[in-house]
Amino acid sequence: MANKYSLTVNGQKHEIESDPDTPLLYILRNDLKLKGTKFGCGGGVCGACTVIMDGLAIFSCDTPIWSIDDKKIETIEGISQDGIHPLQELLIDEQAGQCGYCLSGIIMKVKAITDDDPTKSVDDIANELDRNLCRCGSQLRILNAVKKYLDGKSSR
Amino acid sequence: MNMFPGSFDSAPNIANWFTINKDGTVRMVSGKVEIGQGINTAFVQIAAEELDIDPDRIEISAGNTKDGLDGGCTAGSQSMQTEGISVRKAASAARMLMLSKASELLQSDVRELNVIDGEIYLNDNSTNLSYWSIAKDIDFNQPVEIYMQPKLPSQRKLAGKSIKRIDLKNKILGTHEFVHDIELDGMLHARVVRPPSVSSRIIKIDIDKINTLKNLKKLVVNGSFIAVIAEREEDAVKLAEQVNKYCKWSTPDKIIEDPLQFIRDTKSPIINSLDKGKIDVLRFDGISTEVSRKFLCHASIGPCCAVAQWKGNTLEVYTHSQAVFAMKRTLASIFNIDESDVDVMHKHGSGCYGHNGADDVVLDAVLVAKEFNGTPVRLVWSREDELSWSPLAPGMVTKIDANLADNLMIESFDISIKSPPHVKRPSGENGEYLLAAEHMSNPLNPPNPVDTPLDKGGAADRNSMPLYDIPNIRIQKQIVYDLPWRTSAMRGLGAFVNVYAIETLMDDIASMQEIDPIEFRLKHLSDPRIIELIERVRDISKWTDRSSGLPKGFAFSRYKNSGAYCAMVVEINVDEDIELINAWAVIDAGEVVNADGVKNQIEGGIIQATSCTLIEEVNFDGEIISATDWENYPIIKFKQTPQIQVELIDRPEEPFLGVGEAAHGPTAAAISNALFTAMNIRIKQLPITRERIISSLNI
Repeated sequence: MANKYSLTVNGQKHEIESDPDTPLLYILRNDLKLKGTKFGCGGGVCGACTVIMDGLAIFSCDTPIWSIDDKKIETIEGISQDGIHPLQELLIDEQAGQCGYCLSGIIMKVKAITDDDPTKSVDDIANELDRNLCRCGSQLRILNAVKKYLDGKSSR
Repeated sequence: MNMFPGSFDSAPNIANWFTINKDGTVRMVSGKVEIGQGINTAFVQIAAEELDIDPDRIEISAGNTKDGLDGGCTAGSQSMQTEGISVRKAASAARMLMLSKASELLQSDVRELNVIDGEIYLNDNSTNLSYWSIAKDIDFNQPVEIYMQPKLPSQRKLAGKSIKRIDLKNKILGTHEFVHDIELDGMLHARVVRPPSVSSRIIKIDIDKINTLKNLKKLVVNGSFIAVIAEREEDAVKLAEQVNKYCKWSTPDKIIEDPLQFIRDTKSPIINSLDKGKIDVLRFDGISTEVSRKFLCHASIGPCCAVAQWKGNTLEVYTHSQAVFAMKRTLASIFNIDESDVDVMHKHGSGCYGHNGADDVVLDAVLVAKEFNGTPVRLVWSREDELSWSPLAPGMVTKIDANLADNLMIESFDISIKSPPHVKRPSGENGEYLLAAEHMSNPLNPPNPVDTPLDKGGAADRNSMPLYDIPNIRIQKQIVYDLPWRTSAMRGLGAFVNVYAIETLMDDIASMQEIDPIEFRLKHLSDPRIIELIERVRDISKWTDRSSGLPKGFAFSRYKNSGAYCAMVVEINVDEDIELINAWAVIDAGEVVNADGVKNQIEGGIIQATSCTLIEEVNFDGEIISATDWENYPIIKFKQTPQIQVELIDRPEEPFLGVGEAAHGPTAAAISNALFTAMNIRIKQLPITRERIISSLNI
């Protein structure tokens, strides 16, 4: 049965009519056409679908729409609205990626962790990326970019 | 040897490759596709070099059967070695043709002209001519062969520079359109309803009950190929599960308890890959090894996806296939339509490391779309589909018997390889190796594929020929066709296990003789290129100071014996689990076009190979593949990331050598050799898990 839900995505308010158990991922990708967030596993294990809800990183593939009514969502498209996010700049500098499919989820996860606690170390972040997978083997470059991002944050 | 490899046979003219636009841009076409390896960037860089223009001016189109080039399959680390050379020749010809025109207009000699970012200069003075102003008056339908004049190595300016990947910025911004992100008007969503295991077929399906399911737009039943179509993606996902409850599938009659043992016991005919010198089979008094690897998954992060649309009898497909022209021919053959009525367009997918389900999902989508002629249908596999229905990398067994001469040098290697097929790619003619083709009501039964002979790079026997000076070598392979599981190409093919066998045996023999394993190898090498490579990695890894610190291991191979050379030293930590801490790799890839691109491939290769070496294995419950999600097919995680130092030996005078698969075998062997150094145990079955270490300690 379709219900009405209201959610704010990247600062914009949307009214959505949907079955309550529709995963947020499909609302973002297919209703709001925000395709930067990816489907990977559907079970909250690989992290490709990571977005930020009220400051917390969540897996949009297994988060039903009913649970996020009135919540604020931030996606990869949102963090570069006012120019490229510094973390993205550093990832580009490091050429951190091969196929790039996992990157938006990883970026959102790292942003959520570091926005919440800027004192985290790169090792802390590597541990917390336990449910963000990369198959091409770009982990080293991604962590190098994260390290520079943390250094930049602490010197600011 | 073909002078013009890659797409050249079908694209002999400059116009096939380049269009020079008056707005200062260049459109370039290539026959190889981007699969995350950065090939488009390397091609743009080669073309910009020869044309003397800024790389940003070039827009590349690759993998499109409408107006593209057929460069064959993007596989085997071949793109630079074949298409790269063709791009260089074609770009140099475009430049020369335009300069000929300019020299006419300026009434000067071509040798007095030069180009800076498309502007033409006469004796270093600017003219009013540029590529952009003169191109419209030139007929580019001229043979590349006549005009080509690639720069000499000393004339190159961009070569070896690390320009940034042309596609990566948008992938980091989240704005790149992957095949998964295509949105066409009225597009429907579909999912396949999977049987419980590979040889299961449908016995009964309760269509009446299924037709009462909410949001089902259509059920597709074609033999045992069953799929659901819905307007919304999440409904298709849900419906596939619901429908399966109303399906009764047959259970397989043949159960194989131990697939690796089955491979070991094969009675398949023996194929002689190589006979060099003489093997005295009666006199085996040396040292022997038998290594094996379990089956692996490609395990792409994004499940395979395709979008298909029939318009009457014509068909359009968007895919991340590695071989769009082969797919076009295959689809035309399966649906009995003209090849000219099928167009296959490449879009970037999630990284693939060989032949995953990218081709299979195309037929899935095309079969489903046939039910809604005129309407585009997008079909994405589930995570379970991706892991357990993509072709697997075959499990494999390689045995080597080595005899030593009186001077303790290696006298002979007698090598035996047993493996299911490594290459089952759809080709269009008797080669419709597609998953749904086995399930359709008129299933196709393509013949068993021939394993690529060693002199063409090999498949199961890839890299089984050691590059050490060994006077007598025999290589035999047996291809196991009677296992039920679908197998096909994954990064390195047989090289992963064969290099593991050779390079761990080299350490075993060195240890027996109490010789430094690198010293022992150098005694068996005369090629100065390999010696330089190995000495370099020995230096940068401080190999000779290894009395303290973490245990180190070494390995070397040259991919396919014709691609890039890779020498590697690793340092591991042996605790509860084995962890790769440091890796040093020295790479000789001939002429390097994009140094950072090469490093990126090697780093990624080392990390992925570490995952394959220490973690990954497919297990089977009867015929059922255990790998259905990331919990039961784990791969390497961020916290297991090693430090890696890659050094390149750039040889601008030498041909390009493919690097994409160079690091895999050496990584596995070097890790094993480090463990051997640390604990004096040799793990012969990959992956090297804690359980296998414990059980080998107990013996």
